[in-house]
Amino acid sequence: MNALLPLQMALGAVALGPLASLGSLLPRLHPSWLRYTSLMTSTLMSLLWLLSGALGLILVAAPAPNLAVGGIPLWQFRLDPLSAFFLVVLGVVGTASSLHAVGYFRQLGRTGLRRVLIPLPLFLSAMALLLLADNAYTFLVAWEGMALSSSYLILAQTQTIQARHAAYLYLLVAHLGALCLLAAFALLCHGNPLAGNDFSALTHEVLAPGLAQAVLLLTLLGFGAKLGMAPLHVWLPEAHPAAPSPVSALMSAAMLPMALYGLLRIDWQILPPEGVSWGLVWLALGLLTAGFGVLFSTLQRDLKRLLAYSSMENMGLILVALGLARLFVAEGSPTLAALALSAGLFQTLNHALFKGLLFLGSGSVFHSTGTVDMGRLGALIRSMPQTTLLMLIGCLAIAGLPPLNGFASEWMLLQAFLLAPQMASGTLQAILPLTAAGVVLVLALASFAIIKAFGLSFLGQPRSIYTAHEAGLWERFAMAFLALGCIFLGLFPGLAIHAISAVNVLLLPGNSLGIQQPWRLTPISPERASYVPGWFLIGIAVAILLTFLLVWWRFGRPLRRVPVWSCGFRGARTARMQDSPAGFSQSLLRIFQPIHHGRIQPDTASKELRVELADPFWVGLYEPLQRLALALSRQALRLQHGKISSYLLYAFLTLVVLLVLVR
Amino acid sequence: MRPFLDLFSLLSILKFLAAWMLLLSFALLAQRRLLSLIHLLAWQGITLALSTAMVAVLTGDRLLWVSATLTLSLKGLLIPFLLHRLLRRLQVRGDVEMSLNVASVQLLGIVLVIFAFALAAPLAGSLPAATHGMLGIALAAFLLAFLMMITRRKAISEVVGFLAMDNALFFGATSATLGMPLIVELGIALDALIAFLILGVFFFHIRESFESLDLHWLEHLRENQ
Amino acid sequence: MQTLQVLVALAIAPLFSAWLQMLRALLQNRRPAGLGQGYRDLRRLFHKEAFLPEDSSWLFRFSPYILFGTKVMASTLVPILAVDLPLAPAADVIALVGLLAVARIFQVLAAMDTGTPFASLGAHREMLVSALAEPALLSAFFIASLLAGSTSLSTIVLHAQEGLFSLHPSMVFAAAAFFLVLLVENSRIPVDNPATHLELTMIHEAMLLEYSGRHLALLEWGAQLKLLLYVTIGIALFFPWGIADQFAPMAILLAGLALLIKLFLAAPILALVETLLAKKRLFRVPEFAATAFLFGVIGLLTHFMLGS
Repeated sequence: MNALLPLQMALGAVALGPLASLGSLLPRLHPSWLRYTSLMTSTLMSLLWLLSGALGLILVAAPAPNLAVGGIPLWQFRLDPLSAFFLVVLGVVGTASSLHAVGYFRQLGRTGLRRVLIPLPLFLSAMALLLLADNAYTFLVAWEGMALSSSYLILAQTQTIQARHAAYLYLLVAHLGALCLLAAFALLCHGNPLAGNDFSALTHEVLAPGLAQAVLLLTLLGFGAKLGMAPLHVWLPEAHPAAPSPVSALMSAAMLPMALYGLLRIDWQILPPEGVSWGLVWLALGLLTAGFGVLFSTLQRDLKRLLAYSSMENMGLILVALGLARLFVAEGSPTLAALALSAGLFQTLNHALFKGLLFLGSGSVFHSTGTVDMGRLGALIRSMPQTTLLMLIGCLAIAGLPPLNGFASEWMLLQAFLLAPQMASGTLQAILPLTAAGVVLVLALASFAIIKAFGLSFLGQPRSIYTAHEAGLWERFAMAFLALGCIFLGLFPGLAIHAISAVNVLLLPGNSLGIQQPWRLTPISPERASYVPGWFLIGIAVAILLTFLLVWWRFGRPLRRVPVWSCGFRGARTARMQDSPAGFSQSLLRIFQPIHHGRIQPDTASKELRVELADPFWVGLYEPLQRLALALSRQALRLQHGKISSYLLYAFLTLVVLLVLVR
Repeated sequence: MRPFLDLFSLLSILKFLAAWMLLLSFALLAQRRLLSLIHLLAWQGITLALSTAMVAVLTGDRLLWVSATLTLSLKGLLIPFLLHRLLRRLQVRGDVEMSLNVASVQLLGIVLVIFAFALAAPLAGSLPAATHGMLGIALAAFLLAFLMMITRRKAISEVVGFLAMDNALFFGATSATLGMPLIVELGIALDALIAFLILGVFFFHIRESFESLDLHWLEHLRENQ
Repeated sequence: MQTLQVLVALAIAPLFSAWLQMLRALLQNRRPAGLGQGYRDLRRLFHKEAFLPEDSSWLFRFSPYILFGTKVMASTLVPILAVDLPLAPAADVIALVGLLAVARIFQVLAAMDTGTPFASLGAHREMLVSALAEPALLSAFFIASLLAGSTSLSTIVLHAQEGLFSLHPSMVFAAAAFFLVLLVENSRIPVDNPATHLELTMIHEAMLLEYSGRHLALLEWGAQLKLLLYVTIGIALFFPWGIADQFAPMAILLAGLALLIKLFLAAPILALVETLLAKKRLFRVPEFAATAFLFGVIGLLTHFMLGS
């Protein structure tokens, strides 16, 4: 088989994207036709990427062939296992989001549809192009395309002041990040990012130590901004809730991992391996991001904001895993590094599945009830039972419960932490198990947050009056696709690890975990630790079934529906007596008060208590920066007093200074 | 008989005492009540005496027995008793307020312990192999006692923190180097006692001037001038 | 063998709880109800009619079975009588914690399903308390697995039986941390009061308020089983002597005897703690969990500082 075939297939799909956007401009097409053709093309593209990614993971032997198009500027592409893995992630989320979008946007008219359908395929294509890029120029073009198209998408549905603000903030942070990346590439390519050197030519090139550190810092800023890494995360909780749900799913589950891809590609693969320092930096920043994200996610009232903060937490955890892997590399134990790296990548894939599912589900909830405010929702399990079941699967997966997929990757991460004592450095030995305890706290709080989200929205009594209906067929189909993915990867984690081993071989020259059986995880040895999710499921199922049958057989009597007892309370029971979102997490609010300074304020209009939360990074870092910028501009304003002659004087002085300098 | 010896080998008891010492330091950091603070200090003194006794058995040094007895009577019994009496005579009641909350102080304590460990690791090379880590624990206990003094406001708890620091130094000297000259020890013990007496007098003065043992009143001295 | 262990666990669980109740009654100068009370309660509940609240969903109805099923599954994984059971490779300690989390989360969801104020109160308290206790629990397990070089319970038990590492200083701290977590997770006294429905104290009981009849019986039995599981995990980690390492009838019999004796002795400690301590305010519980975590951390640190 042609080794270039997966790459060609993926590139063909990339080319379909602009075509689909152009197609949406056709004047006389009926809106529903427009919707079907465009979104089906997106689905096809995503499926092609899924296929080519899978092929790439299986077939392509290192070094992967490179494909160049055009003269100067030169476009260069390559599909190696690392890009193949992220293509799979993109393909899975893209397929599900496109299918969901068919149902989600069904009420939009032509203009509204165009707002979505023009940027959406471009967004998908840009992400795929980014993964296939093999030189700085292609990479940066794709990166900018991704940022621009997604900021249009944020404004596709609502154009309120908040949404505009969110899109603006997003664009601003994305551009600052892109600037950092441009500078980093310029340093890497000796000042000329257009030179057309492919990435393999740059790999492990000898850089001055200061230069390498500068590139590290710049890429950390650039990719960290996209990743939602604290303190560059400020755009994330604003942008995700503002976007329409299929777009939020894409942004959270596919676009954030692109930053991980960039980190792995540039910092891990291209930069010369040196020093233990940045593994520790990734670890610390990851833990900070995860802890901050999870704490804020528990305190949210808006379902989509809660999910957005939870994405931040997941990205933080993945960064922790990658940092740990890097530490293992620096300590000279590549097999353990393979374990941590696999855990991180597996978590990326899992996050794509369950977070995609949850965002899509929140979209269906919004469609059905017109709100994602958990203080208004409740009891959806009765009006949308199938969506509820699918969401339950997603919630259990993200809460890290066996035998679903989230648990499998978290289990691997903890196993990797437990192997830390094999490191030589004593301080690291002592710090890492404590970090593991921190990770456990994050995971436990994450399940708090997600149970809050599920319990308040889907269970209990409805907190406001609405007529909810079951989600459409397309939406349910898309969600079922992801839910099945969660279950499948949960039961057969070995398959995913096997697929990831190709990436391990690429990034840790020649090293990977031992061969894993599909249904079982034994990272180091069976005596050390093993986990067989299938037995779990069978064991639990058998136990439940036996219990049920035995109890039914011996004591079975018809059940009777009665009014709730509620400790004998006889008054009228209203939905407002249930926990509100603020009430559910009030104890956490109080316990972690010193960290987030949130407080509860009465809202006189709705007679409710609301949590007022200010992002400490915003207050402590961004606002002073803002004030500084304003003060500087005010100083600069003095230069401007409207006299033509003084402006001419400025120009003259500049000219003189330049002449002196250039001389 | 091998498992029996393993089980009761003196060194592992010494290690256990070291861990216990560390735990007591954390307990001192977390404890709100003055009375319990004094009890914890007494326990620390007793632990110290026990570990000195263990070192005495290990090395067979007679003089260490004397020092263990001294430690027990002075730090385990006499000073806590005096403090206790002081507490009753000053009629200090209620909780100790802290400037930071317990959880963050504890977290800071954990960071300090890791720091102490990192500091002590290179120093431990010059010590007998069996007592590696003892130095780290002593240093950690010292820093924790210091942290405790920083976070408290009542004068009595400051004194408890000071005595805990003294205990930590003592522990480091006896356990890490397996023994310490008696003269030095006597000197330190006397110093501690004198410091304690001076502070006791000092307390009465503070209370006469301010009707309280809360040290933040001392801040007013500056403003009054 | 596997089935035998499950059956033994199921049979002993009510007995152990009744023994605990009896000791508490004696310590509080009340007249105890006798050892059979656990069984009598369960039988009475099973024979009663079960009600469903008006607008509860399938989650409410099937959660008792899911809870009971997962706990039964958990009892196949813990070396209660013997190590290296057929299902033992399926899960290590971390997976066991995950399995118990499944049970907890379904309990919380079932409580929220009814939409009553008390139940959701209990639900969020339960999530809070368990979230705070989890790091302490895992750090206790980490210490054991660092010493044994494995997270598989069977390997840890075998290692413990050989080296008698339970008197290692870091193990003592692990045991202390584990004990505190046991109190938290099984809603025992300083955190929750298993004997009352008083609004201000309840966590676990609040979630069961709407259950009746056979559902309540399953939940109560499940809670007893969970307590027994925690105690047996503690025994397996810290006092493993007597657990059979082969499947000979004699060894199993001895293991059963050792288990009974150890349980007989463990109950007075629990009863004493519950009698002496007062129920803490909810906002003191984080400090309690933090103390447990601190024990775990000190254990980990001493493990690294003092060597194994």
